[in-house]
Amino acid sequence: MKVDSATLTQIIDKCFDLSMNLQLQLPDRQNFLALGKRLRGSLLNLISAQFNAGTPQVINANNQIATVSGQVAAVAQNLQNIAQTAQSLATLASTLDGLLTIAASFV
Amino acid sequence: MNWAAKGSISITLPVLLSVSLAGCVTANFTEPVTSFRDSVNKSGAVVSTYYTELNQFEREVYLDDALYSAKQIGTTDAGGQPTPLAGKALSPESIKARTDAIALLGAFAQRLGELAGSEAPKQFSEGASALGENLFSLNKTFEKLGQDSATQKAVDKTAKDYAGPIGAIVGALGKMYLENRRDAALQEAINNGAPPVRAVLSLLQQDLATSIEPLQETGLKQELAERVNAYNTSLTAQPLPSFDQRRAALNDVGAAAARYDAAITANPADLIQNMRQAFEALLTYANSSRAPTDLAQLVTALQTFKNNVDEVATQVNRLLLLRKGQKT
Repeated sequence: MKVDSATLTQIIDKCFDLSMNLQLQLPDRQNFLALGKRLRGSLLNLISAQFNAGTPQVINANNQIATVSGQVAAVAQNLQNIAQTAQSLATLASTLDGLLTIAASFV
Repeated sequence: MNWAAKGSISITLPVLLSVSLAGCVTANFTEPVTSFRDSVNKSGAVVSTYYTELNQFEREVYLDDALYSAKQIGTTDAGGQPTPLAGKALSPESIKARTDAIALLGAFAQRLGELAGSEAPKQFSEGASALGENLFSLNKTFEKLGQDSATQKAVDKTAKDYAGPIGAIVGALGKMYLENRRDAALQEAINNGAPPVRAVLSLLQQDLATSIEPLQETGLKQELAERVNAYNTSLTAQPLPSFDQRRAALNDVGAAAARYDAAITANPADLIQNMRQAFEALLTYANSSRAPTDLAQLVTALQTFKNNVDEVATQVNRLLLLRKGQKT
């Protein structure tokens, strides 16, 4: 099984878009840029990673990706819950970093 | 002219008509196969570029981030993982596996092109013309046996008239036979190749859509976002950057936006999808009755494929130039 790279890509894309959205304050924009870059680093490391079927950490990570995707989309939509979403993004990045050590193979 | 000769004319006309029609259909099959081969080869070169350039691209994104964030760089990060500076975003074995798969598609298309363009029928036709000349000579020999001179002259005259057509009919029939054999061989080759070709195309399309395209688009958007943020942040500094400094920074932002636009336009996964559709159209035609409407559908699919390949190739070349800082 693999990490949900398609949804993760959408999250990264929205982070960069928010970093260029003048409706946000500059510090928030800088924060979304930093988070987008960090998640992209995770994407690069995980995009070719294969995991054993049913690996709980990957299932958990993919669930987190789905949740955070909704949060980021909501921020892009109504510019609310910015701080909470940023925290969720940081937590996701940490979760993804932890997956590298348990990958079965890289193709 | 004797009645035997007249009878021969009435028999040969339908044969000639059916021969010429069969020849037209088979010749039309050759051109689509050649077009498919050429578009597959061009696609292969474009798609291979994405894989062979990936590690260099990631290195550029990494160094770009270090420049704008004033970060330290290394081949191993703080977590012990190799960085893109090490150039191992995709291993050499992974790249080779993918470029080998692309080369396999090209080899299959190449073989189809060689089979479709076989010269054997043409050579047979030329040999058959010589056979026609020999038939005339043989006929002349017969006429020397027990014929009076007046009849001999009449038969000689008509025999000469028929040598050419006889040779052409023999040649055309032989050509039709060989072209039908070639046609059947093409149909068999396309049908046999269908399962593995579909499998390779599916793998490539998925790989490009889930790995290559996301990395390229997010990488180029990151570079754009870096520059936008750097410019906006600089406007908070005291003193404000000079007019020339701001212009240089904004030119840089514009260039990054152009690179991102080029990446969005050049969609390699869609290119593989077009290749798949062109192959399925070829497969459908190979197994069809080869009616003009069947051929028209195939030609449309192949033209769409060719147009898409040309467009993507142009955008990929443009993107490579933009990444080198060259104007397009």
